[in-house]
Amino acid sequence: MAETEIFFLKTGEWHNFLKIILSRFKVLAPKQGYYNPEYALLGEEDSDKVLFPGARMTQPLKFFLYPPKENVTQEITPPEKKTIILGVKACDLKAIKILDHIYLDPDFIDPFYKTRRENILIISDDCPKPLDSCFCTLIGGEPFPTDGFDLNLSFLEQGVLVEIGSDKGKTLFSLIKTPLSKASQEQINQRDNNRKTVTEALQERNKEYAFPLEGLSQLIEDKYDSPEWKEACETCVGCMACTNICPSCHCFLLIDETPVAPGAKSKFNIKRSWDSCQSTGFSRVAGGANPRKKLTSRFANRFHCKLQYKPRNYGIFACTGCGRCYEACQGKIDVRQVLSLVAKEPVK
Amino acid sequence: MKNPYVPIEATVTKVITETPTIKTFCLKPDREIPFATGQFVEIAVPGKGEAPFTPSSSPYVTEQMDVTIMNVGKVTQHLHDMKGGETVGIRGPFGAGYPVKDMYGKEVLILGGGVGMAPLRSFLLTLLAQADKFKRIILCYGSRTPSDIVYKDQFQQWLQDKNLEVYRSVDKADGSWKETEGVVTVLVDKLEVNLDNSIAVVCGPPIMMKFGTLKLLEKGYKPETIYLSMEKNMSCGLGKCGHCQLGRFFVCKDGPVFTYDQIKDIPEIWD
Repeated sequence: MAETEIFFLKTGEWHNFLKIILSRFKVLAPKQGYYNPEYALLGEEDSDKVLFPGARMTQPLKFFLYPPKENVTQEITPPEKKTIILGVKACDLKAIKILDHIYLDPDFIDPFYKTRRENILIISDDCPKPLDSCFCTLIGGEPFPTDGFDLNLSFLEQGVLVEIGSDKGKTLFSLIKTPLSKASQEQINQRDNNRKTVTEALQERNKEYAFPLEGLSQLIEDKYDSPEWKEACETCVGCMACTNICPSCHCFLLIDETPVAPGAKSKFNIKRSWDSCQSTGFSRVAGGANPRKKLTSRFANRFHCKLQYKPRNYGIFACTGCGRCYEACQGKIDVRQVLSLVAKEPVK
Repeated sequence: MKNPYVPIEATVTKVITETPTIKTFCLKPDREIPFATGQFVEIAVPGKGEAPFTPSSSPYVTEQMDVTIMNVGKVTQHLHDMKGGETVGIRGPFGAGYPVKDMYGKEVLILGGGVGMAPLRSFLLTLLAQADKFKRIILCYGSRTPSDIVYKDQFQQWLQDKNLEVYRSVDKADGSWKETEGVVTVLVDKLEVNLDNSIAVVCGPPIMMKFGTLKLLEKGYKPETIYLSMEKNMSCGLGKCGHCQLGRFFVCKDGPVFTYDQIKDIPEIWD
């Protein structure tokens, strides 16, 4: 991909494009659910049901890349149709980067993840209205995508700006047969202003929280055994909702459910199921030794993993600031508060 | 596309009882599984689960693989119930083994405890197959009692091997025991080595690994010359499932062999 290409679609043209993709692909898009908007599989006639534009969904994308439980000894069959996911936000894209580091690690490429990843196209969009739990700007993110998408949408009053992010995206966009108009500088300025407004509102809303971004990994490392962790997890009940809902948590358990189904090629039936470092036995070895027996150390481990180990290994924080863990937490534990607490006192 | 989750089937050809709680299983895989000494494999008992083990046989023998297993958990109990003829699955090998070539020309001390001798036997057989490449090969092995010693017959050969110095200790001796009584670190105290040209390889239960390492440091071994086989809950072997996380490392992928220097600042290494 050479320079960035941004096009402008009038509202009507955008709807036509939506109809094209609904007719040709399997499309997951935000739709009003019982309580909140949620990703739903939309059909050809559903173009008016797509809820646009909105904040991030409750479901993280890992549901579609790495489902909660699957047989990893079965044959890998690419789907007949590619899937398009709409309504993806910058925080979700950041989480996919972490998952890619783990599951597409050249040493051991995970064939199931890779097959799904190759058969998914991502149409992201600028976050218009972050939720109360959102704090991407506190953790080095921005509420609009800059890379990692196939197409990115910026909704303006008169239409939509479409930025091409990949060759896959370019091919997808070429399904529009009508002449395309490039975005004008004025439209791009309008987009940038909208982005700035949302960013500033998010910063303003989160200004009470104080932890340094620079040196955060070192701070977390230095505070390995700090008493603040105990205070921070006082209301934790160890339910593991935080890691299950986290878009970048990737840990799993292998469960051998052999015997196999009749006709299966493999003689083994091994399932992979999401697992959590918050569970008591997660690190326990057969002899009984367990480096993280205490809830406090398991709680702290989540922060060590996301803010110390992952940045050291991959150069990015594995917390996207999406705030899903706070929403899911029965104890109302908020990463923003935990980090502010941990950062409050200097390292002893 | 290669699927790293599918085990290779293997037949249990022989089960050797080493001690009341430890058995060696000789496995014949459907296809050869080449490995470097110190790498580990996941052994699957169909329908029961997988567990990580480091082969205890020589990497030069490829048509058969031996694993020496202590009965400590669910999967190991199922393995211990086997008599021979059963089918198991093997995935791997995984991780980084012992950097044998880096040890050429050096005085190599092998410090083992209990069933920790399993990976060390594979390592020792690798060294003995090219003994002339090492300045000296020393084996210090400790077990709880004389009956807890693994590879009893093979030790008799090793005691006679002029390429190898063998020292053994037991925590609790009986009337027949003529060697050292005490924890394995006592053997290290007695050794005279040229520290400028020495490395040590340690494997055993966590407590022995800890005090063994501390003893070697006290003796003057440098942290980067002490190689440890870390036992964590390696589950997928692929650096993905997270169970074996040790600081920023995944033991299954970045280890299981680490130098003490690599991991000395991680607080939970001995837990």
